[in-house]
Amino acid sequence: MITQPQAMATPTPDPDEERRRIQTARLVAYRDDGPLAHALSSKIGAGLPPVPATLVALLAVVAITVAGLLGSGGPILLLPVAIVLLLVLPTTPRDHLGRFDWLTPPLLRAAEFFTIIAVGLAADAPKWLLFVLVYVVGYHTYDTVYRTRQSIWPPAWVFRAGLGWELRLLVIGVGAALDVLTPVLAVLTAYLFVLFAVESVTSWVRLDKASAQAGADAEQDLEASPEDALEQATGEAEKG
Amino acid sequence: MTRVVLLGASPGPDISPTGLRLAALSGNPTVSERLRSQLTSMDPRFATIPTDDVATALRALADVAEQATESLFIIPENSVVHDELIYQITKSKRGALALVAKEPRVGVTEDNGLEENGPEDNPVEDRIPIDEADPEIGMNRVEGLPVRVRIGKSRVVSVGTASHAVTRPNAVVLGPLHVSARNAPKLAETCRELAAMADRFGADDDLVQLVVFGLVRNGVSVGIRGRRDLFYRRVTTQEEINEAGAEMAGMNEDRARLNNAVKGADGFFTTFFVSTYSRYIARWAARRGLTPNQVTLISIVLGVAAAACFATGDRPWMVLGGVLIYFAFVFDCVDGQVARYARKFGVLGAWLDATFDRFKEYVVFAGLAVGWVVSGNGEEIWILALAALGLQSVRHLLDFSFGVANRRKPPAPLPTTPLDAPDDRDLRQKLTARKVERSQGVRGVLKMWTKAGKYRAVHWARKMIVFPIGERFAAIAITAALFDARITFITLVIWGSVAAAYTLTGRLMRSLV
Repeated sequence: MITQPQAMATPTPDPDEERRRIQTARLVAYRDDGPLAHALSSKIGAGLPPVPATLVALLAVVAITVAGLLGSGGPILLLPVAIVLLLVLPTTPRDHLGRFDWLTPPLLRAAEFFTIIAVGLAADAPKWLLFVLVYVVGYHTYDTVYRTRQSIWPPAWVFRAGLGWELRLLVIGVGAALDVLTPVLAVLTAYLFVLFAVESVTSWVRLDKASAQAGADAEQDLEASPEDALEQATGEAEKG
Repeated sequence: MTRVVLLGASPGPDISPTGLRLAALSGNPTVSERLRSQLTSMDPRFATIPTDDVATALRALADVAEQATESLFIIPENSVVHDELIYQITKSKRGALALVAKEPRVGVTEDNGLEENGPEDNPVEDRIPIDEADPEIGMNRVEGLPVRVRIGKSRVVSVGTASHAVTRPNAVVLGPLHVSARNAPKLAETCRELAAMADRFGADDDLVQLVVFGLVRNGVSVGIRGRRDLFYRRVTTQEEINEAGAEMAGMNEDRARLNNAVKGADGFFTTFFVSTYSRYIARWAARRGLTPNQVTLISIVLGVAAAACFATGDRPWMVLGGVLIYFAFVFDCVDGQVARYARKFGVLGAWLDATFDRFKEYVVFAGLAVGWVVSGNGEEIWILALAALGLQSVRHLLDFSFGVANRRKPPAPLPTTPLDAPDDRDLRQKLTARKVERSQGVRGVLKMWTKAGKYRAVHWARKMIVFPIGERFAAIAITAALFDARITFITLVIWGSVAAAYTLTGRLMRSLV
């Protein structure tokens, strides 16, 4: 029996599909993938489902930290970094259109922060320096969110120059394993701080604010919770 | 921008009753002159549509809607209205919004009148439950308009005409109607359908009410709002005009504008300990010509000063730090209010406000940790500070990611019913079916939880459990002033974890439906 191919059907863009594409582009940007993740994403086939992989990575890093495996220092400090990279890098080719895929960016950021803190503490790095690094990385994420919510995308090079979660973790893991974490952290933090601060300032100075304003939702509250925003637009409360 | 449509205006010289003068207002303008000057600022070349013939008017409206690339604001020419009311209606984020007035009822207070259609409806006055009530042609009048509209909590449920019966009409559509750009094609289509059946409408059917009738039957969710603390009236005689002018002049429009600048839906602490008076600071700042960004700067300075106070680790300074962080938060609320009150919005301002909110919060964490260490305690406090910082950042990202998730579909579309159906029985049945369908399984649990919000205690407990910004700043101020940095961080981590678990549960459930 010959079955007709169905591929000829409807090339018209579905508005719902279009909305999903735009939304998912933002969701993927929140992951903050760096150059290594981008280079690998086309070479590893279908990849792993993002939520389970990231969740397992987070739980594994928490488990080995709680078990005290990192206490001895040295090359073992590369282990949590390796776990996160091996489990989460293969999730980059995925389209993030799944039902629960909105969990990926917060899980990934949680895994990154937890690994930075666990490795940093085990290697006896200055704790205040870890605090500044977590704030600087956090700032970059907030900045991505707040700008994209106003439809002003940060340039692609910032995400590459920001190294992404994977190279940041790799640098820290290698630094800790070679017992030079403090200077590595200091340089990394200073570099990221200068990069993000300078990029933000120059972008805002250069931006044509009038036309950006026209493209953005004028009275949008950047900090509004998704439930409140939906209620405003539809009049239907959705609380929980 | 908004495309404005003035209904009832004839292109020729002004001979209508709207040529009468509003003596109570400065400059003694005519009703028409005043309205036109109000509308010109929104749309210098607003459309005017004569309404002598309903079918012609509807077709003209369809033409305008077809060409519109922006949202449409429709208003009858004989309107006496506050600027602020026009502003608020046109800034609505609803797909369509109509200004309505409820029919006053004897023996029933206004509050419990605004209910969704359902069996809980008006147990006092109407003995027959609404599900068994017969649709009727509304003959009562409110402000000269026939009562042929049934409104629910947040939208128009059903509309009738002189030949379309409606179940339990309880309100009138006053006139102003805002339709978003995305609903403009639907509006055009609806107006054409209505024009084709114009012979079925009565002389007492108002044009805007007919448009809303068509939109609702075509499945458009038309939101409602009342006049609240602002003025709107349609006038025809000099006597009404004098009355309207005097009444409008007696209302405080600036006060209404200021109240509107205060964001609704805020948390418990913000609502009761900040929003009660922050608007007066906002008005003061706006009148002195301070920009929203300057107010943001004041807030940042206060936040950094608070962090510096906490960094000393001395009790008196810690108390001062608590006071400063509180006022940093007050000014953080004020900057948004100044922006809304002065109507000065900017992409940079919004970004600065949001970004430096985070900075203030986290610089205070650092200040508290430094203060703890310099007063002779261990460095371990930084671990708690890191936990608080990491948790709060991840919690925010949970919010943001859920907000853009592709699975968040808009609510199920409303049912439609043919425009020539003589009554709204079919529409009501479909609405009931939709309601039942939406309350099954996980949806039912979510819906019950949403409904529980009508109890004040549940409402505020639910607002507090998510640990919003007001509660966070208050928790920092109080625990740091009275106890120490360790207690502050432990409070933040525990409350934040509870909040994360609570919001995650709700959102995971909502991702399932």
